[in-house]
Amino acid sequence: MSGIQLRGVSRRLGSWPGRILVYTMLLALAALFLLPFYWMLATALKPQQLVYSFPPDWLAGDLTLANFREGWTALPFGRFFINTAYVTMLTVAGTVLSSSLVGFGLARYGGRLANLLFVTVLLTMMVPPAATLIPRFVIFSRLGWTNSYLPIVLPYWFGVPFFIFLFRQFFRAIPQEYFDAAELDGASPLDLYFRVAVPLSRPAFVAAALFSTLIAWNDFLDPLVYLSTLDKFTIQLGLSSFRGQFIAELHLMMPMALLAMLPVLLLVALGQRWIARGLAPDLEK
Amino acid sequence: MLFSLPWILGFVLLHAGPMLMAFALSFTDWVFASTPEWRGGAHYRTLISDELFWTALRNSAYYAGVTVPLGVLIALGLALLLNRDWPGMGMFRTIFFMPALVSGVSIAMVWGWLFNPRFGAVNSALDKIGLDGPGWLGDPRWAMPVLISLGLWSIGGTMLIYLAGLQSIPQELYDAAKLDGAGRWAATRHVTLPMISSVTFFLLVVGMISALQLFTPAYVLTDGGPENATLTLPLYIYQNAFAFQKFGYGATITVVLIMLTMAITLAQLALARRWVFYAGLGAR
Repeated sequence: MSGIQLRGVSRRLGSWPGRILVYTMLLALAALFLLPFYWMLATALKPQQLVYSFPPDWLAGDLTLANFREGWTALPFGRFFINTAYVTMLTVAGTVLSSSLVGFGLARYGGRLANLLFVTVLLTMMVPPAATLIPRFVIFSRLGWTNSYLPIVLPYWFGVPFFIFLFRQFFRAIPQEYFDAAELDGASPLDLYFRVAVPLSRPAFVAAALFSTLIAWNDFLDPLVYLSTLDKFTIQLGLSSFRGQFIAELHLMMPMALLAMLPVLLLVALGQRWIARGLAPDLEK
Repeated sequence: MLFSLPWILGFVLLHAGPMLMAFALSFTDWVFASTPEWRGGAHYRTLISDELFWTALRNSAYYAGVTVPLGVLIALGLALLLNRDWPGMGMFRTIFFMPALVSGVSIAMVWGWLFNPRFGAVNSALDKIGLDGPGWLGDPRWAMPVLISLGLWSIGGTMLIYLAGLQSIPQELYDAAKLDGAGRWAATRHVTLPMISSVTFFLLVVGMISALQLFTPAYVLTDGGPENATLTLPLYIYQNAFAFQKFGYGATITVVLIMLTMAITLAQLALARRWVFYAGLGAR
């Protein structure tokens, strides 16, 4: 974030008492927000007998990876991770490609039809996804697509309202002259998209890819409804069935929950600086 | 126009079509792989006398009614605290945002463990200050508050949007307020809050829509229990369709959920005129 001019910000460090008060509040809140992560990590690394000691043991003394090893082999977690990575990749590719193309169309070509379509995008953003759970299941099961990834992934290839909106805002912020110049050079509409719009909107693409990764990786309802055999399970569904079978084995559940979170936490840590930039069109830089 | 083709197909096949279909199915009985059987308004009559439906409606309203306003308030508080260029603010921002990344089954499991009455961190901490913690997820009065606490913990996205909103407020407004003798509190009250009221409005609308969707933790942790205290509308829809094979009745509850969501959104739009302030905020 450094280098970005902050406006409406308290620039002065303020008085010492005020400063200490703010930092104390922030530290207390940070501890509260980190506690669940700490509790998960501590449980995952504790030897089994310490997990179920009473009163609970806050500082994990002897650390061990035994829980990870035992949990990992209790169910085919390797398979779940591969499946989830596969579904996530297909979902992200579909979301980014289709949403950006549609957003480009809506941003570049006006007219009544485009406006009407934009209204349908906004309206769909307001409809709860659960609203179409049953009818979609009826359609996809009639097509014989249950226990496959098609009903989970395919809808993302038709554009996702929130991301269409995001891309449209970004593409509209590109000065018209860029497109005019490219058109003079004989660029086709697809060239305009690939050679002008895409390179100028990288933050939007990265942000959309990150957010759709989160959505796909954490999705539970769709896999729950459509997938029925263990070899097809995603990580969230695998964890849910793991919980069903090992309800009392918290020392095995925590390491697996931790592993399930790790990829998205790492990904966002790597892509963090893009998130803020990707949410608002900003061509000054 | 070819660019919009995926969306035209998607809207018709995946959004508008299925919604109409849900409406149509709500008048039928449909068992997996059979032909739907016309039942007229029978399901709607059942609905009125179905106590579980009213319980689910109450629970969803309880969850959304507490989580959304409180979550927006907390997110605004955090954003106001973080909106400084003091050292360490970036680190705090990351810490408060992290929970928003880990929705789904994994965090629900952690939450259940955290609130475990005997071995969990929460009751252990309460014990240290001499309090006797309740049974949390096993207690009908406390199960929903546990789910609400999970919702409140995950407000990082809301906080980031507020931060972006705060940083787009022109410094001149604060300078002018200062010239008029406004202190920090007065400036927050008369400059900051009106200037971000459109952000607040957006967050309340979006928050309500998503809070009415509460499913995963209620399904994973309590499966609607104890004594149906965490049975939400989406969970009741899921149970009807996929546990009891009552797709028609599930569609009927779906129609109610759609209507409810739309009614709340429209009500918020109507009320917005009274309190949302739109400055000439550029091209929107």
